[in-house]
Amino acid sequence: MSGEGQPRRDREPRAAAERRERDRARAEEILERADASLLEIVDHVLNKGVVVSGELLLGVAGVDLVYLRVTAVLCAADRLLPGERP
Amino acid sequence: MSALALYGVGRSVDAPALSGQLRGAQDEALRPLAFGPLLLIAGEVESPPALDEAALRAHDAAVRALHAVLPAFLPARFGSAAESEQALSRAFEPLAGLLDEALLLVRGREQMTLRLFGQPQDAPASDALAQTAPDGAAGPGARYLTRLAHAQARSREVPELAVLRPFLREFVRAEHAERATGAAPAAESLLASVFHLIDRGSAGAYAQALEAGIAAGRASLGGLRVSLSGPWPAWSFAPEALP
Repeated sequence: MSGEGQPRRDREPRAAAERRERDRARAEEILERADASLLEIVDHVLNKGVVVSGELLLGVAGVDLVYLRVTAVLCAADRLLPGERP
Repeated sequence: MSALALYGVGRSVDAPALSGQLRGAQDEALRPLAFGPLLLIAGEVESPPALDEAALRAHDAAVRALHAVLPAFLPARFGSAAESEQALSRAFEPLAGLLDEALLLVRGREQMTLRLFGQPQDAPASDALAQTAPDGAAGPGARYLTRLAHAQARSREVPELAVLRPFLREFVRAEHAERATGAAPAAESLLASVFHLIDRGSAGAYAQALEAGIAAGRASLGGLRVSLSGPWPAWSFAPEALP
């Protein structure tokens, strides 16, 4: 059985699947899936998440505070100089 | 000297979900430390983490494993460590209320990350920004405060996303946006990052809705390019508490 003889409930999922496929093809020109690229991991792991001060050693030994301070300075520059360009 | 490497914060009531098998970035056993309603998850490490790709990926993997088993979880930034359990508890004391609130928000949810790329001059004007434009008749103090409000509003506004919002609305439980600054006007660059908190398990439907929105609003998006990643643990929904 095919075409117009097909029950309506069977045609609808197929139409939805075709629409999704069409949307995906159109969106591919603009949308890309970054997944877990290193860049995304770096931004999340070094720039986001819970941060506490006080007695925490932010970065044990070798990398002590360096990258955190860089992050903090960049954040501060964003806030203080919103219109400035390098 | 050993230290406690911190991986994140959960809720004490979820402690039974943690199995004894979970390991940290250096393959150390993870130790849940109850602190009032909070559950701090740390591992004792002998040597400091190196700041390299392998260490970052290992931290990401450990955090993802915790996110998978804890219904409410806020990851800790790479490199956070304390000398002792007492030091960890003292450091968290002032943040306990904020963290508890944030954990309620992220419970049963995960994060999708959108990066919007394009040329800065293509960005559509925002009504919210126009409403905070400085009033010429106002005094210097009011003008200063208005400029501050304007800058603050601009840092959170992402008018480029307007055409996609109707498609994403049903999935988004919370949003955090950051406008990029310092982009060169002539080149394609990062315009903004948008972090959406969605219900766990709905990432596929969210991605499909985004695709449908882009397909439908392609003409309005101009030269905009969108990068989607996720699902992630709720990295961008931790309370900001930089010193």
